Amino acid sequence: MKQAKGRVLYNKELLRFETAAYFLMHVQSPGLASDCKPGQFFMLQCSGNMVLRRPISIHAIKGPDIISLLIAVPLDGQLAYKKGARQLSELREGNDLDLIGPMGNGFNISSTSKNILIAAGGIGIAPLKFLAETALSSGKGVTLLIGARTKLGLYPSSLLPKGTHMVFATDDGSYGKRGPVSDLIPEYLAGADQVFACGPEAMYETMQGHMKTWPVEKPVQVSLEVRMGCGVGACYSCSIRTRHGIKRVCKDGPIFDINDIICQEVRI
Amino acid sequence: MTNNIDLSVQIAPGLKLINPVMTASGTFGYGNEYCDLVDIQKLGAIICKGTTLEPRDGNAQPRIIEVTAGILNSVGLQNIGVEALVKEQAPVWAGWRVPVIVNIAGDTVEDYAKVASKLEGVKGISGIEVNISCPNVKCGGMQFGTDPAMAAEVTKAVKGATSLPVIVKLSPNVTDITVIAVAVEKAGADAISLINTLGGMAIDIDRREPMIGNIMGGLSGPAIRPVALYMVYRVAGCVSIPVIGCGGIDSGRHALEFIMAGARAVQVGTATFTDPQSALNIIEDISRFMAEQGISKLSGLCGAARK
Ligand SMILES: Cc1cc2nc3c(=O)[nH]c(=O)nc-3n(C[C@H](O)[C@H](O)[C@H](O)COP(=O)(O)O)c2cc1C
Repeated sequence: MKQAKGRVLYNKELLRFETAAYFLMHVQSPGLASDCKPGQFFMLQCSGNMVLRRPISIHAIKGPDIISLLIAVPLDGQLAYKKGARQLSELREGNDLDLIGPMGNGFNISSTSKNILIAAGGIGIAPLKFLAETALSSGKGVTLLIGARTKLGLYPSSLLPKGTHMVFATDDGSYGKRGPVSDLIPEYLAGADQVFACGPEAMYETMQGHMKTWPVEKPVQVSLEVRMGCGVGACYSCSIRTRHGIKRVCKDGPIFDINDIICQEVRI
Repeated sequence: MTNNIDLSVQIAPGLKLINPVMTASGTFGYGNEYCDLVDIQKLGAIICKGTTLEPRDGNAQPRIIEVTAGILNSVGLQNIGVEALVKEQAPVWAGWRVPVIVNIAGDTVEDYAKVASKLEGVKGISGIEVNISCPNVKCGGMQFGTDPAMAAEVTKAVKGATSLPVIVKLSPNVTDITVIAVAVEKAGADAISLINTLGGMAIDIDRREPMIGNIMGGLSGPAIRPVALYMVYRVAGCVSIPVIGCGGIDSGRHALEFIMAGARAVQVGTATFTDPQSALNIIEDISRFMAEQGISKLSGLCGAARK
């Protein structure tokens, strides 16, 4: 973990739907991508008198010095707590960006896994592209289930790694299968040695329910999001109760075994 | 240029700092969390997370939210408890040059005294800051800081249980902070620090519920700076023990405002979240200012703006 002055190489709106826009940003700084693991994040300093940094997952690695980030910007971002993402979206090519990372534990891809199943709900795709790329490059089979409320919110398949088996779903059925992405998981479970998910807390709750009826137990890792203060485990602003005691999402997480988390505790 | 600048300050008998900038309790953990990012040995002092007799889990999520020019937090004194602190943290601190001050809290006067006595004689601990001002827990703080008699009682109990320097940290959530300040000075406090956070809240109008799990939280950051500065000014005018200023300090300029209001030293809290280098940058800023103004001793600026 280190603090770096990065330079924004690219920052453009990738997609937009009713409530948010997703921005794709590339940031460069010497050695920035070294030691980055999928599931880890950076704390980004926002401009304009914002006090808190924003935790943003590593979306992809573009080279030893360049990371890619996917940032959801709420369209009704008047309030201070929503403004940070808005300001990050306003950064332009050549602007400076102060960032600290990589932070957190990251996903753990088992060396013995041959095939993995990944489920992304909405902006949950952010850390999962890096995960899929990492798994593919170590020779694993990857099935990626991608869900959004409508087709406007679906991450473009052209930007996902080739060789991934992709399945899309929308809540309103405007593209792919109809319904929440969590409902697809049982169908694709058979060949998977590990399951990974990132999405809203409601998705994990559904998964915890489904898991009781799975024919075989599979390890499931999920990424949690709560508001953070320091990002280094010093302030306890992101602490949650888990089945194994109190944990700091920034330091002990953000990746947890789904069986360890108590969904009602994870509120944002 | 800044070689002949003397930033050292005495904040209590037996507690001299190499510079006047400390990290505020609750924003810097136990110090080691920031080791990778910050050259912590250059700090004036580190004040650790509020510590209680037993470990505490803290409050429900959400615990923090950004508001205009500040944050609301309601961590609820999550901490490892005094025993783990003595066993696991203090030995690490004992090897540091930077002094560590332990911030303590409790539900009863006896709790405070017990925590203080468990710190007695422990290597690696340079002082105690008594938190009688935490707004985020039902017990364990603020009720002691809003009543001068209770504040004095806690101060006396802690002083009686320790030979370490005792700083009492005041709450701004009172009608007249000078009454409390005078009461804790009379009760034997070696120094006073202020302010802790101001009680506040925010509501999500779409969900129709408070944005903080605990309903209310403590406001900190630039938003509270003018309030904190005025309280420091007033308290420094009515006590003769050292006053330590805290609240929204994020630059050398703002630190100097507190020093010129009469603070002997300052604490930096929320600004560390924005930039972990804040406290170190403030030290640099202060010495640069002194060099530019041709002042060699920081004490020459303490209270300089008082009328
Ligand atoms: C997340 C957080 C946790 C805090 N925890 C404590 C604590 O345990 N004990 C205490 O005395 N003050 C605590 N405080 C108050 C700070 O030490 C400081 O008094 C206050 O935040 C005002 O300073 P600032 O504006 O520089 O942050 C906490 C503040 C924050 C933001």
